[in-house]
Amino acid sequence: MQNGESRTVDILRSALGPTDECPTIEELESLSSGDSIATSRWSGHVHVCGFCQTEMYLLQTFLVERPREASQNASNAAEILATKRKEIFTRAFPAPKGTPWWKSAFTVRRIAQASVAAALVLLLLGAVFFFRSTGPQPQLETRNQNAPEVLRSAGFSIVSPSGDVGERPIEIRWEQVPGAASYQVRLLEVDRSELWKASTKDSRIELPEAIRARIVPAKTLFADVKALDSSGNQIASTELVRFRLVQSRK
Amino acid sequence: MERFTDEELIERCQAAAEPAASEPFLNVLFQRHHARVVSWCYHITGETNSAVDLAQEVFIKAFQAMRSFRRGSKFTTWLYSITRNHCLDELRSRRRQIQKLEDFPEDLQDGGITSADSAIEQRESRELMRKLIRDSLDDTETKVMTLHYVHEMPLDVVSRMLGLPNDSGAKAYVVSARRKLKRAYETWKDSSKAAKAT
Repeated sequence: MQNGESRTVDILRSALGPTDECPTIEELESLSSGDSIATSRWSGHVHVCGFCQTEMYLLQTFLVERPREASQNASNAAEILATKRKEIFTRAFPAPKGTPWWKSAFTVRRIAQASVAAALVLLLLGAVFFFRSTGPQPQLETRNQNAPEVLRSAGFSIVSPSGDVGERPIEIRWEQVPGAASYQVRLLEVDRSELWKASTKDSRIELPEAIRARIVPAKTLFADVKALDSSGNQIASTELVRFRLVQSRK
Repeated sequence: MERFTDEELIERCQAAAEPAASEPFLNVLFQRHHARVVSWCYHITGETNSAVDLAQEVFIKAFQAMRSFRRGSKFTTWLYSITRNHCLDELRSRRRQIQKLEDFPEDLQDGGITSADSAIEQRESRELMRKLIRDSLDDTETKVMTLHYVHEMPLDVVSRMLGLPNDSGAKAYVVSARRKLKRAYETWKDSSKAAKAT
């Protein structure tokens, strides 16, 4: 059961509220603007309906260009609001939230952008290689035209001994080097310590007996030869050649 | 841009592919109508900052709903509807109670019109009350009662909305209206008794 207080409010609210015959806001606006159709249709009802008259009043309060009692406070509020135009727009249409990089990196758009970028890089690299290969070759110039010509050492080979040998070698032979005035020969232990050293103008040299005696079975030795010009400058050299005397069956 | 009507500007907003493209048109609409919106909000709040906050929310709603604006409607009416509904919702959300009836010295409860229990009696009571309101109250009293009881506006808001001279103005109108209604009801009751007697 409602008490008398709330029942009174309900009756007043019901009696003062809209009825099915009340026009909409748009129709009230047409009526207030003098539209003839709206006037003929609604003016009779609105004239006796307190709710419609109140609604009309509220609408006209809004529509009036210079609001009644455009008080200083209302004017101030309008000025403040005018400064917030950008903020209102931003709040009405917020930018979409950022997605994690690993999600955005695999969107079609991102992949397309990356593909275009990669294609451009490849084109650029191709162009660089093309112009480098077809352009003029760089010229080497000696820094000092009066200085003697320097030739880089060339290579030649030791013919014997090499690898495993069945007999104690008598001599060391190597290829002849054009322009060589003499050759410098060395025998080295496995720790690269020099066992023997000698010079000759031939492309062979006999091993002294004392050195031959140190060539014992299973012992690995190394040999190398340097070709020298007439001034004693090295013009070519061999690589270190390993040889070893294997156990003689005799 | 200024030569466009409000409705033409909205058509361009609706045709814009993305919000950024509609911003220039919305700016013009905002410039034209922000003063009326915030002024109306000020009637509701009676305070500058909260009026600005309310008006901001109104424009955010309006901008977001721009695509739902129907061709043939009038923009100011549409904007008014948003403003009015948003402000009245705000008032209701504050849950400010209607002035207690005990505050009014002469209560309609004593009149018997509110004692109807059945639906028929309630409908009859409502129709009778409508007639009494129509016959007894002047325009201002009717507006005060409508804003207060139907729209649940607090009396200070009613006073500001109707431009009544002071904050107690609305209350004075409510007291006056209720006295008039009670007297009119008693007169009606006496006359109906007399009619039955004859």
